[in-house]
Amino acid sequence: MRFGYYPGCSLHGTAWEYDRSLQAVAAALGLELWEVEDWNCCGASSAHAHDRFLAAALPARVLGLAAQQGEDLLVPCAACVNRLRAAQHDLAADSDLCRRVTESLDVPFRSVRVLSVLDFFALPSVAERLTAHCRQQLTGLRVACYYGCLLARPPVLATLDDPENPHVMDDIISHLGGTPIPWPHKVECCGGSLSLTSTPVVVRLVHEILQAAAASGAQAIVTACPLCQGNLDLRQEEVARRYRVRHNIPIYYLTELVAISLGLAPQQIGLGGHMVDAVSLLRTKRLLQLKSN
Amino acid sequence: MSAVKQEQKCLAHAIQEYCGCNVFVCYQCGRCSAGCPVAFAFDWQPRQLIRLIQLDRWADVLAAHTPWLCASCLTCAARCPQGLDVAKVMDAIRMLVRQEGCPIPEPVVEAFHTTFLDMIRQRGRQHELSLMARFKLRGGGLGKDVPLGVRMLGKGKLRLSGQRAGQGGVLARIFAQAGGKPK
Repeated sequence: MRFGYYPGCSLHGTAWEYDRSLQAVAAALGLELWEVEDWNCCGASSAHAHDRFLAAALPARVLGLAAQQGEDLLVPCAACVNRLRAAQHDLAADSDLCRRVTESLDVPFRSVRVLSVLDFFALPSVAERLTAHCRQQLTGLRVACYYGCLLARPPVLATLDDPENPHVMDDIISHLGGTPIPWPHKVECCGGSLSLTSTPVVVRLVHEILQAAAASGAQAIVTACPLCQGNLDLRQEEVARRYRVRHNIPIYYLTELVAISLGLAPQQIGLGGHMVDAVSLLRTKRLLQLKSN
Repeated sequence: MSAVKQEQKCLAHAIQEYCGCNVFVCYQCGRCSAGCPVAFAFDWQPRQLIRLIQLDRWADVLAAHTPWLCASCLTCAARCPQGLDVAKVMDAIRMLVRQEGCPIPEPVVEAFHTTFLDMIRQRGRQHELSLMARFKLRGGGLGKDVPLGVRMLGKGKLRLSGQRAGQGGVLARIFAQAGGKPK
C-alpha cells in the first residue's frame, strides 16, 4: 500500500524527528511513502497574508506534482494540510483564479485527497495494521492530546470529528493502551506563526497550554504538527525564565508514541532531538525495554 | 496614502475585493474577541476592527496593529455565528495597507514574512537557518534567540545547507503573477 508524501520544509529541518518517526512507522507497518518529487514550500503563514494568487499557486504546484504520482497525499504538517486544502477549495470556487494559476505552473493542477497524520492513522487499512503490529501497550502513560489550530479549523476544511473537542488522537492513544486525559486546551493556539516575531505573546500562550496539561495530570503532550511541537518544546526555557515555572513536559509527536508501541528503538525515531528530555518518561514507564528487530 | 481613492471607495468593499468577505453580516456579538488567544496583545479587538470597517474608518483600520499580530489560528472564523472569516479580513487589511503604501504598523512582522517569501522565490523550499539569519539582519533582533539557536544546532534542528526545488523558472512565473510581490 502506497501513499504520496509531502514532508514540507519543517520536516527537513527543525522537525526531523517527526519525519524520521513517521518513516519508521510506515516501514514497520509495511506502508510505502513516496515523496513528491521536486516539491516546493506551500507558502505557510506568509503567502496567504500577502497575496491570494501566491497562496493558491504554491500549493497548487505541490498538488499537481502529487496528482501525477496518483496516490492519496500524506501531509504531516498541520499548516501544510491547511494551505493545500485551502488552495483546493479556492481553486474549485474561482475558475478565473484556477485558470491563471494553471497558466503559471509547470504541471497541470489537479486535486488529490490530502491526509493529515490523524486521517492516516484513522484509515481502516492503517488502523488494522497498527493493531496487528503493536508490540507493547503504552500502559500508564497519561498524555494530553494537543490538536492546535489547523487540524481543527476551519471546520469547512478540517477533517476532525469535532472542531472544539476532538478525540480522534485520543482514540489512537487509547487504542495503543495509553491514557488520554481530558483537558481544556486541546484546540487552543500555541502562537506558532508568531514564534519569531512576537515571542513574548508566544511564551505566554505556551505557558498556558503547558500549565493546563500539567494541572490536568498529563505527563506529556502529544502533537501532530511540527509547529506546535517545536513551539511547545523549544520555548519551555523561556517560560521558566518569565513565569518562574519549570514545566519540563516532554512534547511527543504522535508518530513517536506509535513507534514506541511498535517496539522501535529511540535511535530509530530520533527522541534525542527533543529539547525537553523525552526519553526518561518512557524509560520510567518501562516502554524502552523491547529490543528492535 | 491616496486620499482620493479613500473618499471614492467604501472600505468594506475594498476589503471584500481582497478576501470576498462581507463585513456587514457582523452584528457585534463579540464571540471572535472572546475566543481570540492573542486579544490581550491587540490595540483593537477583532469585533471592534470589524465595526471600524463597517463605519468606513480608513485611517484607524490601516494603522491598526491587530491584523499584524493575528496568529491566523482561525478560532474567530470557526466560531462566528454569521460565518464571517475574520482571519481572512485580517489578511485583507494587511494587503490593503501595502497596496495603499501606508506605514506598516508592525515592521518586524512584515520583515519576517517578506524574508520568508523571498526564500521561497529564490530556493523553492524554506531553509530555517538562512531564514533566521536574514530575518535578523532585516530587523528581527540580532541577539535574540541566539542561545536557543545554538542549542537547536546541537540537536540537529538547524541544517547548515538547504534544498532547492522548482528551479526551472516556475517560481519566477508564480511570483511575477502575484500582486503583492515581495520587495
